[in-house]
Amino acid sequence: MMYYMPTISVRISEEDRNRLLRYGPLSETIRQALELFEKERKRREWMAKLDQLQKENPVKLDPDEIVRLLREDRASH
Amino acid sequence: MIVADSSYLVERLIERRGDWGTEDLVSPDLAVPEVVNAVLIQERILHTLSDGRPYIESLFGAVDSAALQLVKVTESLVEEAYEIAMRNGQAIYDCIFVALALKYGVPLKTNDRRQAKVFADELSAREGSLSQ
Repeated sequence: MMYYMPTISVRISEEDRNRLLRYGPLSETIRQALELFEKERKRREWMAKLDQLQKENPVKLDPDEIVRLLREDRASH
Repeated sequence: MIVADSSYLVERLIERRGDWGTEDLVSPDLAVPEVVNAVLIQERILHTLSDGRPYIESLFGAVDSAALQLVKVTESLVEEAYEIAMRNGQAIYDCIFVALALKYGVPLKTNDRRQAKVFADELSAREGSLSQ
């Protein structure tokens, strides 16, 4: 089976290139940067969705009640 | 990084506080059925939620976006939790969260005062034995 890995090229300054090379091969640094970028964007999207859900459904919970319910759940096992 | 008890996760998931996502939370994977069951009770019995499903989806969204990291409950974690449970007369579930926070050397966030006390006692006992 053949796997196709798309290639991207990024134009950066000589100064940036030299600075980034201190952390290893540029390809690996870019891969890690893309992963971090996606993780951060996913988190922001998730936070916005959760905030919207909570805004549309305002609920005030009693922390002691949550603990009591969890204790009952744990004791029932 | 902070270890989050299920009580803390339930509150952050349902109530609007706007602070989940600003800190990296870690929980043992047993937190998932506990949190889901708490959501189920809020919908089915307490009627505080009209539909719990979007909250379950959001819980998994937290895992997917790494806002919540789930840690597998391993034999060594259970062994540690068992010792803590024996010393403090607590349920193993509570102590798995305590053991995880102690293992990582990070704070434990919980709404459960009893569990918080166990964590504080265990922490000070360890700090005491280190300083001797």
